[in-house]
Amino acid sequence: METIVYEEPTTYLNHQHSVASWLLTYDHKRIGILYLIVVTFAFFLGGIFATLIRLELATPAGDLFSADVYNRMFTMHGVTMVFFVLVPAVPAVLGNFVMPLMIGAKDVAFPKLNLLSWYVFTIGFIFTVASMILGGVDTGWTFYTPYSSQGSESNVLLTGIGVFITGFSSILTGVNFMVTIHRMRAPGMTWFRLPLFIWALYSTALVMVLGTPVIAITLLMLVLERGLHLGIFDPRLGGDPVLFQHLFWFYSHPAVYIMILPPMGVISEVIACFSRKNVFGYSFVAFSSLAIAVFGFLVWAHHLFVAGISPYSALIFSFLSFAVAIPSAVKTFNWTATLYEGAIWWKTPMMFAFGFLGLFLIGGLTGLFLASLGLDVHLTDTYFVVAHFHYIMVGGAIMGYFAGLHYWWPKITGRMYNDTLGKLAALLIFVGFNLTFGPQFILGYLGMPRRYHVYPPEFQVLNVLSSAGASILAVGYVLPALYFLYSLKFGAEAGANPWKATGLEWTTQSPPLPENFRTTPVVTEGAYAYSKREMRVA
Amino acid sequence: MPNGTIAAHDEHHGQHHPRLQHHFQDLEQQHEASTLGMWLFLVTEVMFFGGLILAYTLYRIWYPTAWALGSEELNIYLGGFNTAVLIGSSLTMALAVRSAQTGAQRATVGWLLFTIALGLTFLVVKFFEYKEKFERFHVPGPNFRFEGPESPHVQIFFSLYFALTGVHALHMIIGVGLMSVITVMAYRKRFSPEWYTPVELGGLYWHFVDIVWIFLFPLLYLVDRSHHIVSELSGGAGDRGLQGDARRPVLHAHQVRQQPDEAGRRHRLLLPGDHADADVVRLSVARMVYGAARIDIARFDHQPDAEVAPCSVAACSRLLDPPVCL
Repeated sequence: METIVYEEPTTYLNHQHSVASWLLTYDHKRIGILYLIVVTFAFFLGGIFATLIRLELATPAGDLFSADVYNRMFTMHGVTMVFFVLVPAVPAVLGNFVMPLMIGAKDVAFPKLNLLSWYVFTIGFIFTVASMILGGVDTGWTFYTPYSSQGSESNVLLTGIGVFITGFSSILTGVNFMVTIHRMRAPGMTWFRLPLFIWALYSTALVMVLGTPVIAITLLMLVLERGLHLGIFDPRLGGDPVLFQHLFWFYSHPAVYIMILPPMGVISEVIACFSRKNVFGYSFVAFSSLAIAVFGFLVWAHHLFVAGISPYSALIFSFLSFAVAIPSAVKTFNWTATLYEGAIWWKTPMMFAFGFLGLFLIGGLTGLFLASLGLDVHLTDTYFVVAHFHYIMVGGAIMGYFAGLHYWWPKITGRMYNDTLGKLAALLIFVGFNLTFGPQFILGYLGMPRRYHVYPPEFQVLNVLSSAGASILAVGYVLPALYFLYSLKFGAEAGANPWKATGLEWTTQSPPLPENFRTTPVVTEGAYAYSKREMRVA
Repeated sequence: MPNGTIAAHDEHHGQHHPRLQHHFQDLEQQHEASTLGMWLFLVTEVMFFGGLILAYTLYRIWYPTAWALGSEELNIYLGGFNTAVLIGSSLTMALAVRSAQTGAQRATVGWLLFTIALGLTFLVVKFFEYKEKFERFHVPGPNFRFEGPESPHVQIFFSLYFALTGVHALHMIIGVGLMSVITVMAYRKRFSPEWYTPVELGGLYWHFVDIVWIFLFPLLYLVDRSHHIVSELSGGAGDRGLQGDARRPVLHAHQVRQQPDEAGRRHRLLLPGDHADADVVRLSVARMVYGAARIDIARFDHQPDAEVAPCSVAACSRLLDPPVCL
């Protein structure tokens, strides 16, 4: 190789420039960026559908869309956001980028597989977008049979295949992450020195490995039934549509933990860094991630309380659903205890982390209402459910994703964004979010059903509040896109460790070398060896 | 890249094994990672087939008669032959891995080719089985035909038959593809006793697909075959229908009807105390004691006068759940 002396330090961003060097890269950091691009696109696509839904619901009459178009709108919103934003956001974007850095590895265990995952994901997304362009789907993101297999005249087949394909990206990522965390840790990086984000990713990978194949086979059965007329869920033959619901939620409930566990890991990192303290009860937080992953597989039938399951199994599933609150509460209390007497540093990632704590708390507690059998009968398929899962999936997962994105952005790009604008965005999202979904709890409690494009006039005030909140939320989500893009060109140099954080990812330069570290790091202490004095100097 | 790093890296390259990827420390770490990855992938495969087998289990509990009827339509000889073929292919695969381990390169190629041949044999036989199903209108859909009241449930059986064996056959096709690539690699002498990971991982995959079939064969082909054994032991021989003494017909699955709404859900245990009920269908005492089986009395309602061949004690004690062991 010719000896070339660069003025600029070599980074993963500038050591190769061609388009092919991006599309054929095996570098986990570049693959993380590729995911970031697709996920961001999907996020804005899903956001457009959400905007249209809130516009329609600003008035009681159905003046913008017909019922049929409205059905397609909320379905496409759900499909895009769940399968192409929430599931991949933190693990595939941030996890891919920082996980090997955090454990001191040069790359994930299977870099080619990692690239394949992205292609599989993107192909699945293209299928789904194609189905939307061809007219969309109207089954709801849950694809319940027999409507999806027989009744619907929309593009169920194409969307089903798209989501089926995307599932394999999740499976491959899960396998890759588990092997990487098992086998690729740097010398001295014992399990209990791992950052809590890694524990969260490991638990997530476990859910991906055990859960995703089940949704894959379920969607395959649906596709076979719809496309080739096999009769597996067909009630005319004596098949059981509720079986579909069981199989669907066997994945899709744990999938909620795929969405929320990695952001929880991000929050552990951010709270430790910006309060300059070791995470209170490290091992409890670590094991609560695993506990959530395991319990998560035992609660699926709480989505079926009104589907005609036996009261005895309903009782057990109700109890187990309450049990999930325990590891979640362990985390929340431990984060709060970490803040106690910490030297709180008020930066953008910390703002998002605080937002996460508040919204996740509300989302989690309202989940308990839905886990109780009696109340659930009243609240099923109302806006209460919609509000609850948005508090978890958007309030929790997206807040955590944004916290992570703001936390690692200097590492990813080597540039600082505008901190004031960042704080403003966090505030806008927090206020806008509560204004959007807070009223929906009341609407649901009063009995407004979800998935209708018209509603009685007495619900209008709360719906207008909700739509108004959504517009604030939209500004809050567009703002980071602007200042992030601005920072790429004009942002100040971040330096290797702008937050004075611990953790191996901050020991290498920003943006990192193509091979992450010049020499393989050796770890001698726990993940959060912060001292308050160091903070005061900073 | 600063000079020092490149030089160090090149120097490093000079020493290590050509098959060692740069992000691993040594071949051992690479091998462990690959093996763990393959096992995890197989776990996902278990979950994948698990979903289908769950559906199978549920409907088999609900519709035991239909399952017996459907299973009788399958060709047990072709299925059995294919089972033998696959078990044989697992042996040749294991021998291929062994040859790769010991560095016997030509033997590796030979065993891999043998494995591919057996895999293709399986697929060809499967093709003829599918063809037969098409010809006899046993493919689910608008053209499905099956005589008798159990027809809809039998259609579910065949739906699951095609889903399970279809997904399995797809895995076989992928397996044959993988094996072909590995064979080419072996032919080009890529493997050595230090590095033969693809052969080993390909072998893991192949054995897994084999084991899936070992489950599918009894689940699909052998459901309720047991009652043939009973028939033979109780004097009956040959095909279904009238067996042994013509005055005492043996009731077979297709002659017995379940009440549609209660299909399979109202089993109750038949015990010696049930004499009075049992008298109606004239079951022998031996069956009641040893059968202790979940026999749905309601099924016999439409043929109260049918005489039933008494089973021998030995025969009935073999069965714990004979839907129609009569």
